[in-house]
Parts: sequence; C-alpha cells; structure tokens
Amino acid sequence: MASASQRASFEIFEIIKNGKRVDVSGNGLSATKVTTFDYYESLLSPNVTGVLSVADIASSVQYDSKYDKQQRFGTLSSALPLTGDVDVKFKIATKYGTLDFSKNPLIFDKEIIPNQGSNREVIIMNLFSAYSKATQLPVKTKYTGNISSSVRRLIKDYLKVPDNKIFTTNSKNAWSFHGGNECLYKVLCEKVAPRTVPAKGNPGYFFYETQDGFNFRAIDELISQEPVANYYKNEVLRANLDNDKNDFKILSKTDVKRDDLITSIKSGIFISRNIFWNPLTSEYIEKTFKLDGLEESLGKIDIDIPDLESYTRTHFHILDVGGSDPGIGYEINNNPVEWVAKSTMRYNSLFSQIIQITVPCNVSLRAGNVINCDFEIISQDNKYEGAIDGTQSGKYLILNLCHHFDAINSYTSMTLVRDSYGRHGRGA
Amino acid sequence: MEFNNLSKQPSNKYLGVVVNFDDQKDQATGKGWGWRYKVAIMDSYSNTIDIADAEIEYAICIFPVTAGSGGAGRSKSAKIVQGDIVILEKISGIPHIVGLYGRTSQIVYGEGRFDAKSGFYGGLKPGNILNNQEINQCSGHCTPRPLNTGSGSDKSKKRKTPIDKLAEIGIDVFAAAATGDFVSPIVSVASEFLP
Repeated sequence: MASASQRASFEIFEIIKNGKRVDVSGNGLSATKVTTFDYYESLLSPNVTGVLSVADIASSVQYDSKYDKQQRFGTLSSALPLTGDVDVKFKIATKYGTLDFSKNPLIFDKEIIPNQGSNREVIIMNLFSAYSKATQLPVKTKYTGNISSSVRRLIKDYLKVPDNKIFTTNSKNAWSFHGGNECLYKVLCEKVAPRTVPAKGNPGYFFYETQDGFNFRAIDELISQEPVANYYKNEVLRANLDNDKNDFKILSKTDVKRDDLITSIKSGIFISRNIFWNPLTSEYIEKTFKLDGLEESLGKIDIDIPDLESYTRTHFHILDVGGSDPGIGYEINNNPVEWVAKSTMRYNSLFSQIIQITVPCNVSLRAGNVINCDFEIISQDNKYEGAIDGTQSGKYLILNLCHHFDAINSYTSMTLVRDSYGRHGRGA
Repeated sequence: MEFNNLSKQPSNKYLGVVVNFDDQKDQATGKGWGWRYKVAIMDSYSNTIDIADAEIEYAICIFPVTAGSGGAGRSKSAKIVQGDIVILEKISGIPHIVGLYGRTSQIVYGEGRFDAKSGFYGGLKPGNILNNQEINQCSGHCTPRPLNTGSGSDKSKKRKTPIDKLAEIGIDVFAAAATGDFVSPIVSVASEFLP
C-alpha cells in the first residue's frame, strides 16, 4: 500500500504568460522542472500562497525578438520573462485527494535566484492566489445592516467570487461601516472580524482563503467542529503495512508556546475593565469583564484561571452615536459593550497553546479544520493501561497549513492552536 | 494582526472637507445634537462618489480651552461652514475636528467633493461691510476706511478750515498755540460732589 508521504504526482504544472505555456511538471520532454513546491493556507492570511522551486536548464522557452533578435532559448526568468501577469497552473494528485489549481491558477509575485550558471539556474518563485490583487484594492463603499451579509456582499463586489465559494458564519449584530479606502484584507481582518458577533457564541471572526474559497467564520464555530482526522504520536515503530495507520502518524512535533501566564494576564483575558463614553449624553459606563470559563473550547471548558485581585487591562471606547446616519442619528452603531471584552478574550485565549506538527501529506485538510491529536503519555508507569496523555491530547484547530512536495516525499506541516487542555467537555 | 492590542487604535491626523450643508441640513441648521459636521476625509473618501455626501460619517468638534463647554453658561459657538478644510483626529475610531485652515484670497472654488466652496448657506448671508469676502489670512479683510479728500457730493472739492467757527470758541488759527488757550468751562457742581 502506497504511503501518503511518498512522491505526489504532478498531473499539471505549467507556467503561463501571454499565451506562452511552459510545462514544468517533469512529465513531458522539458528538462526544466519543479524541484519543490509548498502550498500554504492560514487563518491569518486573506489568500492562499505558494513557493515554487524550479530547476531551469534554459531550454524550455524562447526569447521574444524584442529582447533577443536570434530568439534563442533561455530561462524562465529572462526569456519568458517572469514579469507582470504570470499564471502558475497545477494539479497534484495525492493519496488523500487532489490539490487542483488548474482552473484558478496562482499568480507569480516575485522570484529569487539562489544558484546560477552559464546554462542553468534555480528559481524560487513566490506565488499568490489569483484573488490577491483584488484583496489589495481599496474598499470605497459603505455597508449597512447585518455584518455577515455585508461581508458576503463586500467579497462579491470586490473579489467577484461566486456565492458557492463564500463561507460565512451568520452574525447577529449589525454595523454601518465604510472601507475608508483601506484594502479589503485590512477592512475584513482588522476592522470587521473582531467586531462581529455570531448568532451563537463569542465575538471574533477570521477572514481567510482555502482551496474551497473565502471564509468569514466565527472562532467559536470553527472550534466546535468535529475533527476531520485523527493523528497520533508515539515512539513505537509499527509496520502497519496492511492499513493506512502510518499515514496519520505525527512525524514530528514542536511546542511553540504552552501557556504564557503573564502575557495572558497583561492582555486582559481573565479580568478587564471596559470603559464606554457616550458623546450624546456624556454618560460614562464602566463594565468589568471576568472570565469564569469558556462557552466553546477545544479542550475542557472549565479552564484554570489565576487568582487576580484586580483587572489587568482597560479598553476604552467612545460610542459611535448616529455617526454614520444620513440624518441626525441617536442610535449606537454596533455597540462595543457587546463585543470588545469577549472578542479580546476569544482571540487571546485561542492562542494559549501553539504547536507545530508534520504528518504525511493530506491535501484534504484545510486551515480552519479541527483535527484530533493523541500524544503518548510520558510516564515510568505501565502504558498498557492507556498510552495517551490526557492533558495534551484532544482537538486542535489548524491555524497554518503547508503541503510540501518534492521529488521524493510529500508532507503536510501544520501550526495548531488550542485554548484549553484535555479532551473536549467539562470535568474529568 | 496584533491580537494583544485589539482596542488600540492609533490616533492619526487627517485632512477633510466639510460637505455641503444641503447633505446635513438638519444637523447644520441646529436640529441635531452637539457640534457635528459631515466631513469627507481626503484619505478615506474619493472624488468618484462611491458614498453619497449624506452617507458620510459625522465628525465631532473639539473646542479650545478658551471656548468653554457650556458649563456654568460659558460657551462659544463653532464657526465651521461648508467647504471648510478641517484637521481631524480619530479617537477610538471616531473622527474629531481639532482645527481648520484659514481661507486665502487666492481661493479657487470648484464643484468637486474636495473643491473649495462658499460657506454662505441659509441664514449665513454676505454682510454690509465685508460683503462676500470669505478669507482668513494675515493681510486681513478689505474694509472701508475714511478718506481726507473731498466734501459733500463733489469729492474733488477741498474742504475749507472753518476759521470763524473756531474763533467763536476762542481759537485763533493764525496764532501760535500756547498753554492756557483753552479756558476751563464754567459749570456749577453740587456741593456733595466736591472734594
């Protein structure tokens, strides 16, 4: 049985500019071919990206006559050349699905050439989603009403994405906002996402792109998903030649962060003072937010809360009273009382544990998926009574994801985050 | 994104133009609350009208310490009009007007959103003395001043010194001026006012 970490098949891998098409898949006669390819998704990135490394023996593309009168063969970098609009189309077949960007190619961003000779060179190309140019466009329009509906309209207006490629969590609050000529990515990630309250759960959203399309999803909805895969890590070598179990073995694990009490205290996760001032009535409203558990969590919802005598962070807001109203306006626009403290808590607590793992390639995974990880208990006692560490094991949210392909192997690396310890639920 | 600073919004300065009072009529004519004006911030809005002027957000006026807040009955009104170029500061995301540019005598009016426009609107009409001048610069306004030539309807005719009238009050215009030329007037003062 083939392993998921074996070499993947590049069914299509083409670099296209102005109708010139260069096959770098290694399947045809061209000796210019891909050496490595990394595909990235992240909850913190509005676009999918890639890094492509190509060994170029300067024989696959001819110069244009305006650059070389003899129209000799040259490198992709100079003869194509890699400037302006360059598309990179690919379709990679793996054991657990196909990474298909043949209909919606990535676009070339920039290159570096780390190795160059007189008749060959190695090019490393940074690639971005075809929508990345549009995510840099300024948002000039104003949106009013339910936030998730506004975001759907905004994505359709500016990115021209079909409805079936937009995935949103319905929000319960409304907000009247305008883009202020800031780029779509900034508007959605920094302005809108923290101010949006889902119909169920805490405020706080992510705006990101995956293979499937664009997502504007509530953190609480993401973490309440069922795991899409189960991975395990132990030091025992098992043959597993008759099943796929080795495909779900964690090959390496690095702890990036495991709690950070002082930072958490400083960021006001546990107790925060929230001040709101109303410019119409001059009312000063002070509310203290105290965390006594998580409504939704990846691990246990009754988390350990440090003993604190006072609040450790103050949020201040001037209320927007009728500021965007065409008339006079006496209504408060998206009252921050409803979201500011909880949103801060939600984002900060989500990143309380960060780990990185590498597993055999699995292109069916997406940033924003939840996976289950079982880690081996570290103990001198018998492990036949149970070999799983009950604290570290459980559900994790995929924050960043990279599918790596080279001439020999295919792997998936992930940054996983978690807001609490243990398996999901309350108590032991 | 810096997650630890969700509520931290830098207080940047902006330049904007107060949009036409027709698009903020109720507020501009005193039916609204506070001193607020709809300001098209130059960074945030464009000359291609994607958002109508009436849909632009309000900015709140900040007063100097000498103006008073209205407390103890002390206050001075804002004197902002349509077309004024104002300086804004965003506090907690809300734009506040903190100052404005004076209009120069070289001002060029236009029809675009960000073009200069006359501040005269509704009850604000050109006055008798300054007429329709709309400037605030160091040279000052052009104002009427008294002229020392001419008299009556014929401005070319030089006015004569009234020698006989001056003589009636004891002034000899041909004699050199001397101390005591003017005699103190004789008045009767009630005794209670005397020292």
